[in-house]
Amino acid sequence: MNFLDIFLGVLTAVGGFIDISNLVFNTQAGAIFHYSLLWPIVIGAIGIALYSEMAGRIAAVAKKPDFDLIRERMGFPLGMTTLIASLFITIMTCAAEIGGIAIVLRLLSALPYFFTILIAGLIILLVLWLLKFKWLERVFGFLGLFLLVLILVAFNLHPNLKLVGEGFIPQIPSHLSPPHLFSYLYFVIGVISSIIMPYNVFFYSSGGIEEHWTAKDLLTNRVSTYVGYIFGSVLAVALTIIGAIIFHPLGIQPQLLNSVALGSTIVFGKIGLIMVLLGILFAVGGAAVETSLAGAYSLSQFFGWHWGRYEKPSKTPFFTLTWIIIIVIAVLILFSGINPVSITQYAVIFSIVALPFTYIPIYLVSNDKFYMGKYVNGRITNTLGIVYLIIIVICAVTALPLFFLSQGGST
Amino acid sequence: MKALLVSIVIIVGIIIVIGIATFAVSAMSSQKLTRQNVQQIAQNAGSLVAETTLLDQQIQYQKVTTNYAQVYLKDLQQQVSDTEQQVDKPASRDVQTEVKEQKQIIKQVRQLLSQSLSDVDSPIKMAKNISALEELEQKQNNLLQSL
Repeated sequence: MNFLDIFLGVLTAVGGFIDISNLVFNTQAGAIFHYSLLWPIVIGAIGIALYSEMAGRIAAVAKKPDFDLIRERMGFPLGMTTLIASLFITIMTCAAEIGGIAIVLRLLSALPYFFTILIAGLIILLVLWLLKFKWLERVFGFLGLFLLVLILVAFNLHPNLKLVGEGFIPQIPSHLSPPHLFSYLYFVIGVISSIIMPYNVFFYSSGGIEEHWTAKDLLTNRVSTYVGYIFGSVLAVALTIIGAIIFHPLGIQPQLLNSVALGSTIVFGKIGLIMVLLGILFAVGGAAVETSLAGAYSLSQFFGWHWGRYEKPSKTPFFTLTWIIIIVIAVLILFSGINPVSITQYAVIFSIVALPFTYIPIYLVSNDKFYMGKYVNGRITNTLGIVYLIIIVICAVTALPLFFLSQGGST
Repeated sequence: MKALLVSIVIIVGIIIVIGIATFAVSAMSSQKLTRQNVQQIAQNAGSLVAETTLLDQQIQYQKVTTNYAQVYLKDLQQQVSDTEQQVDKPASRDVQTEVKEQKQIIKQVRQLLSQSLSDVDSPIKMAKNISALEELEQKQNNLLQSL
């Protein structure tokens, strides 16, 4: 048991927990619905920890990455459909994350937006080309810890702990009119979906194979996922509290990534602003790296191409070409002028629609003695796994109708 | 091959659904502004006025960097322009007075945002903008209540 590895794994998971979708959805959720959308964060955090742990365990014991399982369990036709839907969502998410980097660079430098998009795309290409897998994960994960300032901000705003506690009880506020009710339910799904986006699991399990995990790494896997993601979700709670205390009383419904940093300036001034902007920069930067690699992992695993960041790019030509193409497409999407925050909203809602196809094979294989031997799911994991599959299917079925009924949560 | 075709059909299906939904939303938004539309626009406008006031306060107390302030103000200007376009449509008879008033408030917000952009480095001038914005906030709240 390597305590340093466990500690670093937890820190990486905490720092890498937040991406642009959490920044947007959690701040808006607090601003519009006060503390009443804290409970979906808990549901999302347990869900991502549960399924990442299963995917990591499969990677360590059965040495099988996600899309290998998806093709094997679902067959080629349904597997191919899942792959295309997943790539579509991953590219959209990658565009949103690169857009997030561009926005922060612009806020720091006042350079023109289109120029910062280009810089953001080039930085991600360069970083991916130069850094080894472990460093990619750790550099962005650790530097994303700048976002811990959000927790200090939330505490310094002196939230009413009783009201915060009540927000963790699953609820549907009774005073909402029908349009606001649709909006509330849309945000419930948005908050859960922003945490359990499929690229997290693809990246995590492929990373386990990249790092040659074995059964000896199962403790690191379990602690990193459960402790890391649950602590990471505290950042999402902090964002909601900041939205609820600063924006809600003023009737502000923040539509910009810029607004997320405003809370810390009120408490800590320029230092708070710089820390949050750096935190956002590395958090969305890490997510851009994860999404572009997740897309390349998926395609390579499905078609059986040689893949991995431990190899030289010349030894994994299709894999390397895929992540380069994903970044280029993401940059082109941003050049079309679409707002990254809008792309995020679409990506989050469409990802939940495709999520059951991603999670079902993980659940089945982690429960299969043929692959997992004595490392199959325990009774608690199995029960929770089923409960989460039901939650995911309900979210998948209702996501699109709620998106249209609430006009993207704007009613 | 069959799988590829099925996948393409599904993706095309998704795109068509999004297209129809977008068309339906834009068709609805091209109709006359109803009371509900105006309420929503007024809420957005109120949010923008309040956000501008909050930002100007941080600029006045010099809690933000100049780059951040300038970029944020420009982004808010863009949002105000978007809201202005939404309200610049024919309105149903029962909300014409409110729409007229909303247009005036938005126009004033736009002017104050331009003023804030040129006063970023002057806390004294910024204080004037903030009090003007606070008056606008009051007007906007009254308008929202009348809706």
